[in-house]
Amino acid sequence: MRANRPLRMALLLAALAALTGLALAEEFRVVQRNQEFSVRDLQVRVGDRVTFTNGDSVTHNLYSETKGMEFEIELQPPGRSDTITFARPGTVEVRCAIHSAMKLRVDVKP
Amino acid sequence: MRASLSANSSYRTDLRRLAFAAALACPALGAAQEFKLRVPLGLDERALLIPVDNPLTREKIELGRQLFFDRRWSRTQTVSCASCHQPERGWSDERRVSIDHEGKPTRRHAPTIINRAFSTLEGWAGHRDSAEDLLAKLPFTSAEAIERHLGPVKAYQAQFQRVFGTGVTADGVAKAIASFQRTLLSGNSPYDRYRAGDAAALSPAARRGLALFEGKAACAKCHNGFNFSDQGFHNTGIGTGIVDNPDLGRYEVTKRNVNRAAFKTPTLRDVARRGPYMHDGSLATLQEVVAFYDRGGIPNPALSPDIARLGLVAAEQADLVAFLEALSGEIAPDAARVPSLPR
Repeated sequence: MRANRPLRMALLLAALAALTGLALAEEFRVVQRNQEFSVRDLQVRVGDRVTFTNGDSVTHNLYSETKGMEFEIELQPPGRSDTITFARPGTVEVRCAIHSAMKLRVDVKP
Repeated sequence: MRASLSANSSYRTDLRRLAFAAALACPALGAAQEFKLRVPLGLDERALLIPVDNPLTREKIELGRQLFFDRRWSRTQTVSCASCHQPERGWSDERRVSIDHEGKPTRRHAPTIINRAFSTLEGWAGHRDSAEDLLAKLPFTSAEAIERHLGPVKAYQAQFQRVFGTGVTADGVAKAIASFQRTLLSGNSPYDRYRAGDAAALSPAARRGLALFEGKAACAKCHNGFNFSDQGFHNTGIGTGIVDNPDLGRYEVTKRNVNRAAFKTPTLRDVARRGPYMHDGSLATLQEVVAFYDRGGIPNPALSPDIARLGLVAAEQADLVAFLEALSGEIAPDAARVPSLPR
């Protein structure tokens, strides 16, 4: 019984940390409409999640070439949502490779 | 709103006349004075993109006009911008693909240069970030050729000195021609007049075509906005059957699969004036273009998901062509004037 106490404490602490982490991470929503992002600049914290929803009737693409924060959603059909977690601090430029004028700057704070 | 825009244009025209008279009286003033573009009905003045480091001035535009038509600044002194961007052909090329300074065919059909003041990425693949960037890196010329061929022309020396405060330079050539190009604005088409309230400006066929364009035919998915272009890059299948050295379009710039064999959506303004069509000039007429899209393009692994069979009957296709013909607008006569070249 005594031997299990440290294990139980560790599990409890891990659960608390996980819960705390979930509570701190925020969710953001960005919509692509009329071939523009609904915002041009977005401020988030490390660990926050941004859900992109294609609100247009055309297919979009999402990508970032920012070093350490590269990603690509190659094809995002109308109506579909995709979520990106911003795991590192820095400034990330999110773009659409199909519609070159679409740009979103995400400032990721520590 | 339209009436107000028209009234403003008229007011601006009066101001420009005054400015031009003042410039004639004092050439130095004309050289430095910013030139206010006359934006025709249907175009959005707020969307003009004039680089801060290359403002429009009357004398720079005039210099650019001369250079645009001058063959001497190509390596072989045989081609000018106007060789492929022909004013009488909608500022595009009547040939399927253009012919370069060595007499060899180029890879692509010359796109129109009208209404380029509303976007930046240049060329079918958007491989240059601005008109200045494109003009500075044209394969048919070089800084050395420009200085050797144009440097001795006294009238150019004087103009470059007034406009840029330098001798004849490749940078100045690029800035002057880019400025001239930005004055080529086409608007005030039957479509624009219809949108502004003149119901008779469009024929019944063109009105039916407009409804198809925005509806069943879904052309407006990509050919949207006042300039009828999303400035996007799409794979329609054109040119994808080529095995030996295929043209991969935007992919060559971005290396992204979604851009494979994708090419920029061209403006549809003045489209009836400038066949053949598509980036390789492979479709001769607007009827062929509409039939091509009706078939859903050419199947290939990277075909845009937004291209699909349309199911248009022959009468609907004819209505679409009637609408496209109604996008032929007007370019200010002074903008399209062909100059005499200095010797």
